[in-house]
Amino acid sequence: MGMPQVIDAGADAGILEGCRRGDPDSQRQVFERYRDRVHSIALHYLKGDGAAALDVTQEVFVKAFRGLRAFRHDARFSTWLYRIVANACKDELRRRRRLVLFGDLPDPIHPVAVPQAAVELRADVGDAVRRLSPPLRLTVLLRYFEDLSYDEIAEALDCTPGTVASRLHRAHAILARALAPHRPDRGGTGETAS
Amino acid sequence: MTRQHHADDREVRTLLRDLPVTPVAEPEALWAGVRRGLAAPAPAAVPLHRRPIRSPLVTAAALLLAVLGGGVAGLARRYAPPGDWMVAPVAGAPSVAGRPLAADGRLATGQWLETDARSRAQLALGRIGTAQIGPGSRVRLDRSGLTEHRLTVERGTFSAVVSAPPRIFVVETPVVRATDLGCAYTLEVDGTGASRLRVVAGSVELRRGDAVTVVPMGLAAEVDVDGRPGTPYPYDVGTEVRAALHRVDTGTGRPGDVDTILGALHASDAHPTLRRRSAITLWHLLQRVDAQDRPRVYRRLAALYPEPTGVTMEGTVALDRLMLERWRADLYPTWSDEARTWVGRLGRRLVEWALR
Repeated sequence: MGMPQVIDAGADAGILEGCRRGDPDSQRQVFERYRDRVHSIALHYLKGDGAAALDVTQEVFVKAFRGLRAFRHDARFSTWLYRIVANACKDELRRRRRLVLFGDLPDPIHPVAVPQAAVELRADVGDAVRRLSPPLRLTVLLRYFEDLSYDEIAEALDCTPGTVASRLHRAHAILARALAPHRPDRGGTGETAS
Repeated sequence: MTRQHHADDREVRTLLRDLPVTPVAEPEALWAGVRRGLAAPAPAAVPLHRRPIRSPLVTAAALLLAVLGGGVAGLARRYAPPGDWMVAPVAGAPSVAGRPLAADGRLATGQWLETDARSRAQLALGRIGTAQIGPGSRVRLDRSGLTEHRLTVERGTFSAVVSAPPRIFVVETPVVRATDLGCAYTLEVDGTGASRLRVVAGSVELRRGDAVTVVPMGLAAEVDVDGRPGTPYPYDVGTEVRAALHRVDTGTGRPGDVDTILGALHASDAHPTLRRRSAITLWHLLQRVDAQDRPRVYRRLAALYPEPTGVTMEGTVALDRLMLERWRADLYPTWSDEARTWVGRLGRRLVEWALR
């Protein structure tokens, strides 16, 4: 999982300023840097629903460019952007829940095809993450997919770092149970051990 | 983070290392969508950092809180007393603080309202009721608060109609404290301080020291200068019976007093409400008569009212506390009866307040 080339509010101040002015080239640069990350988070969060993930991704960038004037430099741009991602994902989930009456998002009818090369482990990990409750799922994705710190996750999700720690603790326990066969100390293959 | 937390963190990070980053399949189409979105009119501004409250549960909770808050505010407004209570003459020339009472008089905390042998007055009990002050009375306002309205009746006749939750309205006489449990009643206090209570609706608690008697509707009770609250009795009994009860209550009973009392109480074929009132008298009497008289008091009690489960004559006449308590619980109007009454009243008042 390689880290994306992120916008640095200092070094890339010109890009952000251009976005504020509505300059399409600056907006395109931000879009290029973050589109796949935003799309992937949305895809994992929405349990592989590709169409919904694309809608969310588009919505995130529209909101981000429109709301960039509200971005304060006391947070990383990526943290601010992930807050918009988190809210857009939750909004999408709420919209869909209204249709399914309090159920979690159903598995998509036409999920995004998992590349044939994906190993069994990857599928299991993906499934385990998708089975987490939405708050835990989003916290895990921001922590381990986007490598955000506890404080940054708290900022993005509008909660306290303590809540982040609590959610991660619960997620660890759930993932540990779900992925026990892959852990070397539980009789797994150990292929995932670093 | 704890050491275990660090270990979990590393392990999950390792496991999730292989989660795929899924590139957008058609980035140009998505970018075109973004441009179209930016060109479209912006929706009404919604702060990015504050989510609108849209959860049905949150909305329902907010509505419930608003209703409860409004209800509490309404009740507070309903029951919050004015500092001074309105008082008006009904007959003769009552006085407040030694001065003749005007038609729109006020009784302030600490002031005495007095009526002579030919005068009467009407007093507003804050906003929770009214009282008629009979001739020859002396009444002082001690406290006018949201949680307690307290008066002293030093002598005279005091008839109150109260509409408030139990225990808000309290009257002190020289010998007893009468606490309103939701009712209408008359309290007579003679020159010595001896008091007689007659309950017209609801019930009243009489307390002197540790001795407590609850007097429900249809019953009366007396408190002597030196005694505890007396046995409640149906207030239509004659003076002979009252005298006999008074002697039994004060430990000066004479032969025949118990027979006099039993003979005056309601028969077993009387209306259930009347039988219940007589049974309450008998329940108190049972605990005050001599041991040899208890069996016949008990038999009369059991004839008027069905024995509660787990109660025996032997245990009750031996004054077994548990059995007496079972009798009391059956005989007295239950908490749920009173609660139903009050919930109904409060509900009506909330509706009335809301419609105003």
